[in-house]
Amino acid sequence: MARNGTKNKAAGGTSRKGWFGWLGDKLDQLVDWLATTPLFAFIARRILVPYWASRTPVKRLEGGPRPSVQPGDNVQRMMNLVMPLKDKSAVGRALAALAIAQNKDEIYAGLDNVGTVHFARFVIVDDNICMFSVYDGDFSNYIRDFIVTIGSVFDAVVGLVEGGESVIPSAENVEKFIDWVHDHDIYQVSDVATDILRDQEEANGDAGPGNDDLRLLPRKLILQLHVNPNVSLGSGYRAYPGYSAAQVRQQFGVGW
Amino acid sequence: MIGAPVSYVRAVYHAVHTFFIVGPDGVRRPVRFSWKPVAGVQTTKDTSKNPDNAYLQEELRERLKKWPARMMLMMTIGEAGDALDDPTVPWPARRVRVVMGTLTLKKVADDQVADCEKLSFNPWRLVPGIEPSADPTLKARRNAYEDSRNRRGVTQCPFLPE
Repeated sequence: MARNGTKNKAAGGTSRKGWFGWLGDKLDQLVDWLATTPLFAFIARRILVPYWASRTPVKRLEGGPRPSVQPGDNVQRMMNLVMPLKDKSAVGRALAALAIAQNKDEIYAGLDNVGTVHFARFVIVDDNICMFSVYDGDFSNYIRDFIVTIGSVFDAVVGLVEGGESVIPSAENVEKFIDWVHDHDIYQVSDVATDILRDQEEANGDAGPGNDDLRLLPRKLILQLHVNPNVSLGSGYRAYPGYSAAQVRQQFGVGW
Repeated sequence: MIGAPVSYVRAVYHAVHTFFIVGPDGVRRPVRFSWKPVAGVQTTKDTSKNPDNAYLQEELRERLKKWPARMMLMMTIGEAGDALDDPTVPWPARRVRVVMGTLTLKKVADDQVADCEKLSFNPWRLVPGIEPSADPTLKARRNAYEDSRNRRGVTQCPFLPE
């Protein structure tokens, strides 16, 4: 058992040698523990983060999938629109629910015609009307197809959203509408932790990968979530990745 | 903090190297393999202390007395532009993934030396239709494993070429 104990200690990897090492370990434990106490948790959330954010302005990162030329990345892409309702009450949420319910046929028929959509759903989260969908191909074309096929539904929904009046009717404001939708598509955090640093560099117009100090990654993530409060985490699970809606339909013999 | 696996068969195993396989259609594709536990992944919840030494061996013996354990072999097909020669770079989760089969474990080998220590685990011993990539780490493993096999005086895996 003694032998196991020694081995386990070494495997722990954090133990330092000597009295100073012992003191260092104790200080580390103290700092780790302090972060869990209500006082320090309050200071971190209400004072430290707003202070950091004011001293280190971080640009809001754009939503939607990253550009990619690889075929697997261009099918089953995610759109996660989070649109704040003008009327932040149960009545406002009911009006949004009504706008979707009244146009159900038009939405389903439109999506069938677009043909590149795997899933699309409307969800109310707090005072936001959200549209989450999985589609194949280019974002602008996807929205363009939408405007053509279900533009009037979008108009009904967008009219209830903060700032929406400036882009409706969508059929007459196509490019502006596409930009507006893109602006409401939430940032997609990559599966690779350091990709957020690349996205920040791109947003800041930096030359390229600098020296990644991974100790700063948690801080950078917190500051980013301060300006991008809604994000999508990772690329998400797919049961049959790499296939378009058209390929799936063809395989099952239910295409058109 | 992520805990340690509670069992050998409740963890995912990623073979990080890329191999090329030739399909029945004659197309040569880059692939990576991983083993996924049918029972699901589970890690220890208490991360404040290290688990006992060799607990995984004992857990597996006890587990297999009750029921066989199964692992699913998944093959991910890479695309041009993916990291084919760099095992440190993961592939995107959006690549086509194929279920290749299921491995069922019924018991721990009685003779650990004959059935385990006396085998070569060289990743270059491949069946026809599977080729190694130019991954330098994979290349380095070839001779290191061969040297280890010679020193231990163990049998080669049944697949050749020499």
